[in-house]
Amino acid sequence: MIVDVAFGGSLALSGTEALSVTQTEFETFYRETARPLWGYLARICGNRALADDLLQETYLRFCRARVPASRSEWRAYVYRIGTNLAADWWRHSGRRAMEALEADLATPDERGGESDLIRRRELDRAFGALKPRERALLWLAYAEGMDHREIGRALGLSRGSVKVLLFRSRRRLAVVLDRMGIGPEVLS
Amino acid sequence: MKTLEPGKESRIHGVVRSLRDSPAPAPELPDPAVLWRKARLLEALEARRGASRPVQAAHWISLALATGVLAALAGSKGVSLLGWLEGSASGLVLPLTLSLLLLGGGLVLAAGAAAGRNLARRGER
Repeated sequence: MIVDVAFGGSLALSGTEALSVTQTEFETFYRETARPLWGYLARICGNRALADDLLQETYLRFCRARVPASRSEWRAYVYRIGTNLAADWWRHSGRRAMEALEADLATPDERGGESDLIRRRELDRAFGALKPRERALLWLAYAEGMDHREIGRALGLSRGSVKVLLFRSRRRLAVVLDRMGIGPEVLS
Repeated sequence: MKTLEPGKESRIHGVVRSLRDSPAPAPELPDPAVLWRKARLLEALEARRGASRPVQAAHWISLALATGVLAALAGSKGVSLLGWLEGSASGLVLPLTLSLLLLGGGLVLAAGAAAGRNLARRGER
């Protein structure tokens, strides 16, 4: 059974499939992935400062872990570490803390016009109304452009589960958008 | 694969993309070289902790052993320690007890020396 809060399970890799990363490899990989990963963590946690902490802890663990031998799997692996850390935080702090923190992410940047600010606030609220896992699924699929297999690896879910859960998440966001009266014109 | 109506599908796609591309203040990301060094330091710290674990265990065992022997001897009949040892029926009690005390003392000294060496090394760094 898939529960709402749980994201992934063990990160253990078998000895033949795993290797230790070198400093050069790590630095290159970090420069490619740190910013998008931060955006993802900030979205699923709803808090910038927490995303900073989780990002640092994620890469510290990545450096010390035995990573998949295939470099193409590193992205999903590092997202998995980050997701698990976020899920741990979620389990310990609970929904109330999460709701309080979402306000932090919803505070927009002052750049852009007033209508732009209102629009962004509405979108933030709509996205924030989803469950963390729904946000994670939608973010990985649409913002990061991951396929079902990679999302499954990042969240510790099977490909079939990703398909079903992603459909439900899309449907739920559509309902939230309808309820909040956010139509296609808001996005234009 | 299940899909929503095309209009809803593109709207959801638009919402997530719009959130991703919104001009939020960019985070100040830590330097990867610093992170790398920090990870190596943590690794070394964990390794050192792992290495000193047997010494700590020996320390506690020797302390428990010494305390147990002393408590057993102190609680015996209210006579003097040596008197009780000498007056004991079995000639093995004295050498056994002394061996236990010596062993406990030796373990405490060894653990103390190892801990002192570790502290001195850390101080040098």
